[in-house]
Amino acid sequence: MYKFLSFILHLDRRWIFLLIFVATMIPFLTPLGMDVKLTPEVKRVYDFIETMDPEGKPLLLSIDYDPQISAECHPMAYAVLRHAFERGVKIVTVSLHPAAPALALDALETVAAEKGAVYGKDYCFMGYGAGFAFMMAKMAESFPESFPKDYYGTPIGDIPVARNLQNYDSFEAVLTLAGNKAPEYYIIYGQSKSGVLVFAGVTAVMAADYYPFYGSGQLSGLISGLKGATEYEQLIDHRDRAFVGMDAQSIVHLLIVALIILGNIAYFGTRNRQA
Amino acid sequence: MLWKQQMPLVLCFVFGLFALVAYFSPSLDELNRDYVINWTLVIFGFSMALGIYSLLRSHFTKVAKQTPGWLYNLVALIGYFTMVYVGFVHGIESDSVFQYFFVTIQVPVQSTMFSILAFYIASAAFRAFRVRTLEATLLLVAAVIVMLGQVPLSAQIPYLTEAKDWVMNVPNLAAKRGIWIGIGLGMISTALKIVLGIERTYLGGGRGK
Repeated sequence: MYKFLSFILHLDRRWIFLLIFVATMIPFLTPLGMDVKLTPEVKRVYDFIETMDPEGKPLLLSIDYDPQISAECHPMAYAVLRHAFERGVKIVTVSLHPAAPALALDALETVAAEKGAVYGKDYCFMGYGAGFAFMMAKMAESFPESFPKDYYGTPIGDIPVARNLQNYDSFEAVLTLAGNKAPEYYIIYGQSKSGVLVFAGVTAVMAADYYPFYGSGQLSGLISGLKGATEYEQLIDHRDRAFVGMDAQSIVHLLIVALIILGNIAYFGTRNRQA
Repeated sequence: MLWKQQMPLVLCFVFGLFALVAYFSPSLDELNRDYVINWTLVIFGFSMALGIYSLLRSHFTKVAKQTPGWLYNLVALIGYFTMVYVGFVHGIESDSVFQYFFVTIQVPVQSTMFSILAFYIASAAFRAFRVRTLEATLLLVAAVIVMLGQVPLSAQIPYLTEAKDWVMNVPNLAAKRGIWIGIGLGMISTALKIVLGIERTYLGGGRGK
């Protein structure tokens, strides 16, 4: 018994890597597709878009993540766009991260084709705005000066959905999908100065940082990590890439917990003899 | 001395003080929006150009000197110029070569690099989470609750989601608020030290030099 526990305690990390690899592969062979419990912070994002007036002001969707965290944030973008286009809500998209425009374009074009949304009328993509926090401050002053042309070079005045935009007051709300400080800066330059509602979708690691902002009401809703994206997919009843990722994450989390328990059993089982 | 020390100090003092006052003054805030933010955006653009120059120079030097691993530098340079070429010549539309390369090469490569973390985190969790002290036990229990609460399985176990929500909304929120307040105070004191010229390390010299 001691030998076995000692083996577990000094388990070569390559065995752990192999276990994680196998655990990640299982859902590809047998998808679980288990329902997730909805959280109020995700429900508030959903409810807001659900009650938006299709003829009213557009939603400013700020896609500010890079490919590194696309596994968590890209499903959020897909789910939110599906919901918005389904309801006919107008979307104006910007990217304040240099690696984000290609991802934004991917999500926009795919979902727009799927839902039959028309570029210029139902949505538009203004491309990358250099300056990050300063661009957010600039948008508070003048949106057309911040983004005089869209991603394709069309002047903003020629884009029906964007031609009347002035500043944050021209939007119903801001939704930023990010793995960086974008939500914090939108709160500083958008919410606190202009009073626009700010929603955020962030990675699970970043979510802990944003709970204080959600608790204080500065963030009106929060989609946190892949779990949040899965909740959103469940809410719109369109199970896609978040559910696939969630299956793998479920098994890996279970495996990690099992490893922690096993590690502690081995630690206590060998401690007395080692002493 | 004037250009490297005194001028940056004066500029930092003037604009630092201006930004501070402008935040609370509507008329100055307008001036801030009309001019200072535009200047900052221009500087930001130049900083990107400077970054590209620095990156290329570093890679070119390593390739020219054939330092160990120079082939990787060459791959980086080829990647950079290929993307610049296809972007400028063939456009960046959704059906462009640029978009195809980005979605089929850049996205999987970066995602893969990041996903490797999962393997290391699993290994680290196995070794680090030990019930040695009360604090370590609390950390372990909180980690297990949040880890299980983050997956659909939590819906099958009574009170697990509620426990995870409580961990995130009460202890985490309290600790994070404290940290944020600490960070805020630290930022204010550091900003004041920079504006007043007490902290000068950004000039390249030591403190107070």
